[in-house]
Amino acid sequence: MKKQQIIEKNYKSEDDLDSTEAEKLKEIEKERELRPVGPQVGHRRGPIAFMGEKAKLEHERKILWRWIFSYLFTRKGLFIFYAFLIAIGSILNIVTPLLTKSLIDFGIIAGSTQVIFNISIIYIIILIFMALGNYIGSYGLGKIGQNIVFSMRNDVFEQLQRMSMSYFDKHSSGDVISRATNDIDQMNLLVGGQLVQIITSIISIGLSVTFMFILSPFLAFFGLIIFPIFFIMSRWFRNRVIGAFKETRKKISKVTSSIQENIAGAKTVQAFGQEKKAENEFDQANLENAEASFRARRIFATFFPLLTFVSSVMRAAVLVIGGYVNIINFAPFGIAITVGTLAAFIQYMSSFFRPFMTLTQIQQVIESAMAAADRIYGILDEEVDLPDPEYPITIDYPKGIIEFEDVSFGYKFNGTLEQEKLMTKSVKSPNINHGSAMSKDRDEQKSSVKRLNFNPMEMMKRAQELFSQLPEPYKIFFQQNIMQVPQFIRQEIMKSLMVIPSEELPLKIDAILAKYGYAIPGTQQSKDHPQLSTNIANIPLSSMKEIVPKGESSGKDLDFATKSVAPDVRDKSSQEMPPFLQNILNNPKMLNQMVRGLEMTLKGQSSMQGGGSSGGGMGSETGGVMSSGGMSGRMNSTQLLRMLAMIPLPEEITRDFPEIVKKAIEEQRTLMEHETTVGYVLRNVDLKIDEGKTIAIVGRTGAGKTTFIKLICRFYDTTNGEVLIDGVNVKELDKKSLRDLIGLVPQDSYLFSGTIRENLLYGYDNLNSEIEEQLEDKMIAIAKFLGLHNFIEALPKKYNTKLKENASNISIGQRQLIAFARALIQNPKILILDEATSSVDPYTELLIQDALDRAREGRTTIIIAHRLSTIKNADWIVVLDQDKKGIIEQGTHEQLITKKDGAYKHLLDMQYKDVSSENIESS
Amino acid sequence: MNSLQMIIKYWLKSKGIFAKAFILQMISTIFQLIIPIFIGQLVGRLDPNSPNPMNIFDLFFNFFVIVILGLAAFLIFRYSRILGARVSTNALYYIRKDIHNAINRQSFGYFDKMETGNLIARATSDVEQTDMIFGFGLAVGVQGIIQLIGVLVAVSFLNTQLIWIFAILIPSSLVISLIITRKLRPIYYESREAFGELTNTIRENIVGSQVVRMFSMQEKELRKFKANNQRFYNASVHSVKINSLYMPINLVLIGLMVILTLFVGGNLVIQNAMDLSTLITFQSYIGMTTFPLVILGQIMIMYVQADAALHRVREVIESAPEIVEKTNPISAKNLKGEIKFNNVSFGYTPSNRVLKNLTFKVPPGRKVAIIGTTGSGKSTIINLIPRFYDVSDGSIRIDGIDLRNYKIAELRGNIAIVSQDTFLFNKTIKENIIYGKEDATMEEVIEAAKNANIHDFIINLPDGYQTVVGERGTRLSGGQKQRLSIARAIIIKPKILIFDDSTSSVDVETEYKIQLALERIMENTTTFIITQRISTIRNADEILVLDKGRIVGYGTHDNLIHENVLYRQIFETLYRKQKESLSKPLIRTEEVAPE
Repeated sequence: MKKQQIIEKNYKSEDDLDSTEAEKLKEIEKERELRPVGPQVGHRRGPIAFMGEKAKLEHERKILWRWIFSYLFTRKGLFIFYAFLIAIGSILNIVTPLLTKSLIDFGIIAGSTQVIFNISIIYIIILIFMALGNYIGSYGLGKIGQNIVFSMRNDVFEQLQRMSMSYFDKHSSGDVISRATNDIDQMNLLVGGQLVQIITSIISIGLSVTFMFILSPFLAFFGLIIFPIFFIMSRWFRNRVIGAFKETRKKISKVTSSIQENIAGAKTVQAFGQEKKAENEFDQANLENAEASFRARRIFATFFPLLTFVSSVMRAAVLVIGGYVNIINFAPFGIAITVGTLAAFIQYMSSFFRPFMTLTQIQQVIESAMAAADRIYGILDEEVDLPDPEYPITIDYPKGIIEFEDVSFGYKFNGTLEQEKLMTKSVKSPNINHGSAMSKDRDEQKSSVKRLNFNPMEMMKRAQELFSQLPEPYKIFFQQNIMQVPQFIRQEIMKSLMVIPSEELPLKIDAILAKYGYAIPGTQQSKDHPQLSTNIANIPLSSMKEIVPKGESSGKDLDFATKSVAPDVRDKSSQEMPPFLQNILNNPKMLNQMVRGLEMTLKGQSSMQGGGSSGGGMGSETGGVMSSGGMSGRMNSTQLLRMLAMIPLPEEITRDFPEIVKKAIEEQRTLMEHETTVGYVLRNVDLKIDEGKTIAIVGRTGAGKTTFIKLICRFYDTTNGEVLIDGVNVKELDKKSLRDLIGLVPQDSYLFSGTIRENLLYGYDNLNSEIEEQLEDKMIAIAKFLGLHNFIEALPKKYNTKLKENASNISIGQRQLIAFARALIQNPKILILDEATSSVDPYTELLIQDALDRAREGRTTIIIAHRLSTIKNADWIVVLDQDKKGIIEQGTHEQLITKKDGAYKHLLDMQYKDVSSENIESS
Repeated sequence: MNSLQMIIKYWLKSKGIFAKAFILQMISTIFQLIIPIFIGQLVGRLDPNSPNPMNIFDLFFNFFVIVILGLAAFLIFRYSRILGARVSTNALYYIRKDIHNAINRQSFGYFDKMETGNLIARATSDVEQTDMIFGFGLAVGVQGIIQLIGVLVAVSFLNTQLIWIFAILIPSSLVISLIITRKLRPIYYESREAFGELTNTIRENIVGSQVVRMFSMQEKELRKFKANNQRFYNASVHSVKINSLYMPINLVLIGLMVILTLFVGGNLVIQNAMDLSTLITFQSYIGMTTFPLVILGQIMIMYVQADAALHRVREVIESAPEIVEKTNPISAKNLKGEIKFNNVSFGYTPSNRVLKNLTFKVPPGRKVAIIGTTGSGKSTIINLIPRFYDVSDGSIRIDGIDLRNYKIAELRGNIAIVSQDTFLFNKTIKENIIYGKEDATMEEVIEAAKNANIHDFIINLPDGYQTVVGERGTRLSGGQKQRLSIARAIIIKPKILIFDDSTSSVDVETEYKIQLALERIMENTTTFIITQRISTIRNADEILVLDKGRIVGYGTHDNLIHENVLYRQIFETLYRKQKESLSKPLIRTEEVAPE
């Protein structure tokens, strides 16, 4: 709610950000009251798109500063107190020269030993107060700084705990680790180390200015020139250095990732004897990091010396001016400038410059910290994508009924390596950068791919070039027939052309065509698979409808270019938008025009949809569409829609849209969401599992069995359709209560480093010795139940044996058993075993089988297994298939086994083959 | 090696630059000292009573002299800073490189002992902690020392009986720094230790994120993390507490010296034993020592801070790998693949033997199935053949030679392992397949993929062989990962091939196809297979039956089935289990249910 308001406000205030600043601060204060600890987060996404580069930068910095200060605000009382002590210390420090001066004047010169003694005593007393103030102040501020970093780290970790699994799919663990450790360390340098320095510097600047004015207001004015000079300089350096520091943070994260992967995979590296290769790869990351870090420092290497130079020049200038005034005997403001004044003034100037010097040093720390803050904030700002519902439902007396209603799902991996690869690949390709039809490009490197995509003519040119590199008969076929190939197939092929090395291309093309039942005439593929049609050019439209997956059918008249941009833009973590989209946003008139046009089209021709453009010639529709303002006239409605859907429009704007347009945009977004998924794993799955039943899920590898389970546990949300437990959508359930219902034994059973006991009792929070004692019997019972007890008892420290990281000191089979026990111990209503016994020996497996048969009593049980022996006892068997992306067969064992040519029967036959290859008579 | 030697060593990695930076820093410090003195003298000449008073021309002339001097100082200063930046980034680069490569060279036992997160912390944050001493330490250290020397030289020209004050000031300042650094040392050690733990907690949590979510233990993890974080925080606050002492104590010390000077000197002046101007100059010199003394003390603190981190880095760099190549290793390029275990015993820890007195021999090209109960040591045997661990007793011979005599890299080049935990790199599928054979052609890649029965899957991915598999292959299913790792193993055409239950997540049909392909291409390869599939066991030339780390049977199926009780038991269980599932009617749950 609050966030939304602020986003709106930000949007409104594109130009007058400052005027609403106070209001926003109030908002934040309010929010802070609601959420006492931790930062406010989430203001970054919306408004960014609506700003120019510079404003965007400033805006981001403002947000980051506000975030950093939000930590300070909660400790402001103490902060002010300690800062005050520091200030007193600094003031006393400046006063002491006055004391020594009076000691000389009134003591030594006057020849009074008594005065010397008295002033010495006062001096020492002041010294002690100064030291005390300084100590308490800097200790206190240091503590506050550490406290802030402490809270930041907790906040980051807490946020990571809130993230769903897909966050960890998208971000490499090295990167996350780097953010949570190295980047926060950078913040530590700023808030933990430099607060005192900043305060003392500012105070001594203030004091020096005062003294300078007391000595000579005239000269002091000249001294003040340093302020604008300093600010201009520091701004200039900042602007130059921001990018460089961001780069260093990115690079150090790459270093961390590389190390993390090489350590985690060290055994593989060594098994293949690839130490050299690993070293070279790391060296690459390491070198890049060193270079980036050097570049950033290089810029700052000028800053400090430059300021030193400025200070010398200014001192010389004061000398000249003061000297000139002195020589011509002029007394500005009626105060003559004596040589003594001049000398004292110049002395003060050095104590005046010193804090500036310190500040320039600190600025380096600040900029580095800001770059780090940006990445830390990136985690905190990330939307928690599987949030608990506002009013979560808990099931008090669960039955364990599981239903899948028309569930479709595909993993999303956008914004990851793949795309980075795609980009760099295409950027490297020749002939890609010229003749862009796009508006002037700001983000040269990255957007070249997008720009290319937006110009069909360029695309065709490039495609023709690539076609010419293909072997025959592919080459001749595509050169002559590409326009006749149905668009969606053509798109797929074109995309492959861009990313796949030419040597692999024929294979890939074959695969794509085979998917739709076609092959290129004259190829090996067409000979090997005579069932494939070679008449690609004339695929009837009706058959296309069957082939085109449901979600995409209405989008088939879209040109491919807009489509391929979509994943990028929709990715919320990437802040980049193609410049032309920003242009639209900066031009409300254009936006309005687009919306009106769209409304008319939608209203007038809801029946004509898709009829407007046949999707025939590629070059015909979009050539240079965005180059001029009058775009809407030349775009069809779907293109307009896609464009709008691509922009993260804040509600502020869409509110005024006509209902029909709003709806269409929403639909379009869902569609595009689909397109960004790397294909579906499950599609339109319907299934109901009754209370207390056991179902087995079988299927070839990659058929989506594990995914099926992950949806029940709500590690991911379905793309479409609903998963219900006891009739309640899992999205509406309290996540904790949902997962309490379920005992999952996953495929790769991860155990934590810690004792076996700790791992077995992992599901219990707030363990103390009393509870542990109560659980002891239960734990041992379960361990016995699974035949684990004997193994554990044989260990030297029994249940208190420490497991090493990833349980490397026990075998995989034992790991699986512990994971099984860990799941059972909580007495879950639903038990899920994902190949949980794949790595145990047959004896143990029999034991588990036995245990499982008993354990499933009163539980809904889902078993994934390849060994049919494990699944024969299931009440219901579901066969998943990778090609159909869903259930192809279901029934009881007896039903399925009688099915001729059934998939289950086929799997079974294979198993039979395995056994029959053995001559059993010998036993 | 101690940390100081280490710092110097890495400074000297870029000797030339270091020397240049050092000298330029000296020059620029001198410049910076001279310019104010020069200005001060000019001010003196403004006094009309001075012996050489200035006119306006002199004034402007000197202005330009100062500007030009300043400009020269700026250029030198800037250049020295750039060089300094180079020195420190280079030093960090080399340390990172050394620590990474040291980790890389460690043997398997090391990774069993060390926590990954902790190692990561050592190679990243700990190294970063030394940044200050390498860059800033150099620049400011030179500045501090030169200024101190400058003051001392000036004082020595000033003929005064007060010189003993310096004899108190400088040593006591150094002693204070020493005491504080000594106090700080253990705190910084603790702080780095805590940070390593912290990193490890974070990493474990990310890697085990699914389990945490499954059990909804976010709160618990958060508490665990907060406790770790608290430990680090406590250490940090403790260090701040002591660190903050440094400045005030030094200020008091210098203040005391100033007042002592004035007190003693003042009395001397009153007694006419001393010149007033000498006293004032002397006093200002004491003031001028503030900066260098504080700086030197801070560098000492910086040093202990770096020391706490560097000692952790050193622990890694200096720990010798357990598995070391012989000094004159034998080439292992053309192995036949005959393997002989000679009374081999092995334990991951000395007290706990996992394998006991194993003796067996496998002629080249044979296929050996290893079976046994969970935890009987099957995977351990396999880890010994590529020399991931050294045997505790006995020896393993390949082609008649103890494998400890071979060149390790060449030995491993002959062996391919498909292990239980498949580790894939976050690279493309193709890069993963050619991991052990960089120069493989696309045909070879495709052939390997086809033999591992994964080609069809790959080619149907949008990006085909260019698909990035995600960290640890997260984007693939268990079976797909296993098949990829099979392709990765067979592409190198090894002499010895080891399958460690590596088709457990592959369905039977696929496995069957893989088996057929393997049989064809692995004809002359000695193969070890840990498996639970009957057909595989049956097809093996020899079967090794393990129980609690001992061999209880070794021979062909036909021999064992008659002679070996355990084998027969295992086999029959397996057989019955699979057979039952096919022919017997469904067992009703009521029959099996307890009570």
